[in-house]
Amino acid sequence: MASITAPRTAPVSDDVPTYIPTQSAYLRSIRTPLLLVIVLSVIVPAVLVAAISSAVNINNATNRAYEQMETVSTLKVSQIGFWVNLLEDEANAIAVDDEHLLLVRQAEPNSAFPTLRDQAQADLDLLYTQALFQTTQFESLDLIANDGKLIAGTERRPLLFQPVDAPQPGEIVIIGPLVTEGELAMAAWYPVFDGDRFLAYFGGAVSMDALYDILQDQTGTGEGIETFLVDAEGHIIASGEDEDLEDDHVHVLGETTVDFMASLDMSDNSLVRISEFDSHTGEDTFGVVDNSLPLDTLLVTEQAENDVLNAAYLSVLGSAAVTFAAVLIVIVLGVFFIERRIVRPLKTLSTTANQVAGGNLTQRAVVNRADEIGVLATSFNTMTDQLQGLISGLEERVELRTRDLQLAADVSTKVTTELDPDQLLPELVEQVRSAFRFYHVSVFVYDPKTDTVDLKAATGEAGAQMLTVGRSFNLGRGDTGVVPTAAKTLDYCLANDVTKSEAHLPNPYLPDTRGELALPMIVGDQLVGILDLQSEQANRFQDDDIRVLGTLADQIAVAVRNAQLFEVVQDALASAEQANSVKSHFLASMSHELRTPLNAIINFTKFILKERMGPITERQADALDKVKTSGIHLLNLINDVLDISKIESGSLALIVDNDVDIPHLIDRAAATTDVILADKPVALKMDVAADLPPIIGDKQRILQVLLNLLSNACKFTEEGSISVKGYQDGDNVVVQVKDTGPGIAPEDHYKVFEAFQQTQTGLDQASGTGLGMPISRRLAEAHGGSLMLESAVGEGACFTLTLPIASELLEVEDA
Amino acid sequence: MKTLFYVEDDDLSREILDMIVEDMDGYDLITFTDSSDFVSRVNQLPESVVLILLDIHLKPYDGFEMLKMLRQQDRFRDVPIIALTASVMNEEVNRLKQAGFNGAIAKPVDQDNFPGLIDEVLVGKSIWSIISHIE
Repeated sequence: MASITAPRTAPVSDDVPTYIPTQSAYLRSIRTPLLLVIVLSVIVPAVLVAAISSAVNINNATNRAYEQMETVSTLKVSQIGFWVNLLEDEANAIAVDDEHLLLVRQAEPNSAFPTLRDQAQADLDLLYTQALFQTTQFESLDLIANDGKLIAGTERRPLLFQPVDAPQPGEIVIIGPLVTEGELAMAAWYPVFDGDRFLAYFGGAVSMDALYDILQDQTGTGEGIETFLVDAEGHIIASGEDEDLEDDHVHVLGETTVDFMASLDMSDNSLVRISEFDSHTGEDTFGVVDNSLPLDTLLVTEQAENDVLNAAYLSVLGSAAVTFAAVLIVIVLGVFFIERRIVRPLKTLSTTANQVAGGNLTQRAVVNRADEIGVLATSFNTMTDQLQGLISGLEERVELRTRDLQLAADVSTKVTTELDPDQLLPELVEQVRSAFRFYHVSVFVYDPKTDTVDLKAATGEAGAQMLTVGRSFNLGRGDTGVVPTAAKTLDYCLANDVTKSEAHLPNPYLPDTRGELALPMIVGDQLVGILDLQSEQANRFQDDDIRVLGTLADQIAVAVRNAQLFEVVQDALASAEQANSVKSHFLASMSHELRTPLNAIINFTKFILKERMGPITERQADALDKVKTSGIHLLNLINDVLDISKIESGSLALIVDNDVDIPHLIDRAAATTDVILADKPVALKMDVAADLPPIIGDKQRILQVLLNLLSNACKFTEEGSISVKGYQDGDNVVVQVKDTGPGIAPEDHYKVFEAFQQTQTGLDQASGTGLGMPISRRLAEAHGGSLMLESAVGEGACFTLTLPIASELLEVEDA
Repeated sequence: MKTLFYVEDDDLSREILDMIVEDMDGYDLITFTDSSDFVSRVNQLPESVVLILLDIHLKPYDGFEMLKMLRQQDRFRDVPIIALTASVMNEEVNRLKQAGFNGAIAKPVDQDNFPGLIDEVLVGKSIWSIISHIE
């Protein structure tokens, strides 16, 4: 899985790109989010539960601490209550004694027996001293009037007494504990009544040892709980801890505590819980304040916060440790699970996918699970199966197409190599039949003269028989069948099941035909013929086949058309060759047959003109001269026609010598001009270099060219001059013949060298054959040279003959 | 007197050549009407022949056969033999050359040029005067 999102790295194999998970990809692996989900789903509730349970734990611990402190507080209050009752009982036991009562009546300030007062006071002093030994809780015993005056007693001083508005019988008045004169003190006063009449208070300083004992007693109160008494100013009056009272028994609680205590509303509740206040010890503390003491003080019970919560904290710590351990186990198991059950199978699947991508289509993923990954692997295998099927199907199609193309190529080769239709068509039909495994293949060729398609090639024994008998469809007459239908519509005609087709005509030679397809063979928009295909199976022809076969039909059409054209050309060529041969033969015969009588005409005329047969008159000579000239003209005509004929048939052969003397040939040609020029005012100017080298060439032919150039110049020049220049130009010998004749218009120059194309001036001069210049140019070219014309109307003409000294075209013959 | 032989079946051609040679100083012409005529008479004729002119279209032996026969005889082995013919197509000329003729003169014969040609042949040149531009 990781590999899919991984960046492409350099391919390791030739073409197949492979995905390699990189280090960073490992971090992006699916295991990271999965793990995160698992861990979060474990940690969050675990932490929540731990937090809640911790809070509950702490709350419970606090509550328990409070309850414990309340219990302790209540216990202490009740113990102190008992103690106060003990004080009452002791005071009461002495007070209500009859002797004591009598003495008090006598000693009190309002006594009815004032005389007895002093005695009574003395007796009381004695009595109290004796009684002091018997009491456990009093440190002094005195009798005090309501106005505070001491009547009698061990101390004989008023101690810790405050007057009471309306003393009630049996109600002991407790003063303190309080700090007085730097000392902590406490007193208890018991009202003494005579009947309903209040007499005086009896009591004294109280020993606070018992109180201390009560506060110090920690039996059953648990560790760390302290109790102490606090007065309204925040002084600690009494405490369970001795050290608390070391400094003159006075400790003042922290100021914030004092304020806090003052703010407490104790009106309704005897017990109030306080928390997190600064104790005199400086620690954060929980506590309970109790105002139900029968004393003028509050009872504070406290416990250090740490003592209370340590246990809770410990339990929180424990549960946190357990949670952490659980999370750790979950992570380890999660990693194991993800790796084993998700990542590893996905990696395996990914490797398989890469192999498939690399072309190994036989590779399949291992499916051994029913979960989503198993489903994925199954889907992957299904996909690969389809891919493999697709590719192998593709290969099959490619194979088919390759065969088609091969066939098309073969046909093309046939088309270009085999031009004989009688050879071509039988091979084509056989090739198509075997390539496509058809039952029968035939080609009909369209004949526009008869408007028929005629069977020209067909496969097999049946084909041979049909060809012998002949098979033809007339399109004009409206013949029916698959073949004529295709021919008429110029579109294919298909009978995929001949039993159901109306177009198909049963053919006795082909009894097994079940399907027939006729494809028109068309070149341009002209019907060439029909390619007829027959199959032994119904529905053999599908769209694909029809397309390919249609292309094939077009190709065969081109082949047939080419062959037809080739036939036409062959015929034309044969007749042309025949005609040419006839012409050559005719020319040769004509030449031969004309020369013999011309031999007699020209020579006898010359003999007579030379008066070999006796004297002749001037008129006779004149007439005979015309006969001679005409004879020579006729001879020249024959020669020129023969030359042109040779040139055009390519049979002009030069008789080559290696010592052709150009100046000599020029002289010989120039010698003939006298006769032609006769008495015309034309000067012949010769300028031929004496040291021209001999050249390789045909003497007679070069002379022929020079004669032609000079006679041409003479003929067309009525006055002026003819200049003949001969010189060497590099590897060439150049002969220039320039006249002052009428000249030739540039647009007519081509005509000069074109056979049977005389210029107007040439036509005006009836004496030429019009073949001299064309022959001369061809002769010059046959030597590897050239013949060029420079001329304009009115400026004369200049012909330049250039001949190579040693032409590469010529070979000197051994003679 | 230098003697020339001329084998020719055309009467007019023989007559013309007779008249041409008649006009040439120091030359004598003996004509034969056909190859059979030549074969039957040749042994009775003087041996001092300097040149033999042969028509090609002869009977019963044509020019080529005549040439072959003549070359086999010591008497004519070194005598120049010239074809005098109206057939001047290239292939025919080439055939003449290959057969071993010393030259060819085309018909019609240029009577003004003819003596010069004979002179050339007699000094050992080959003549192939097949282009008969007669002026």
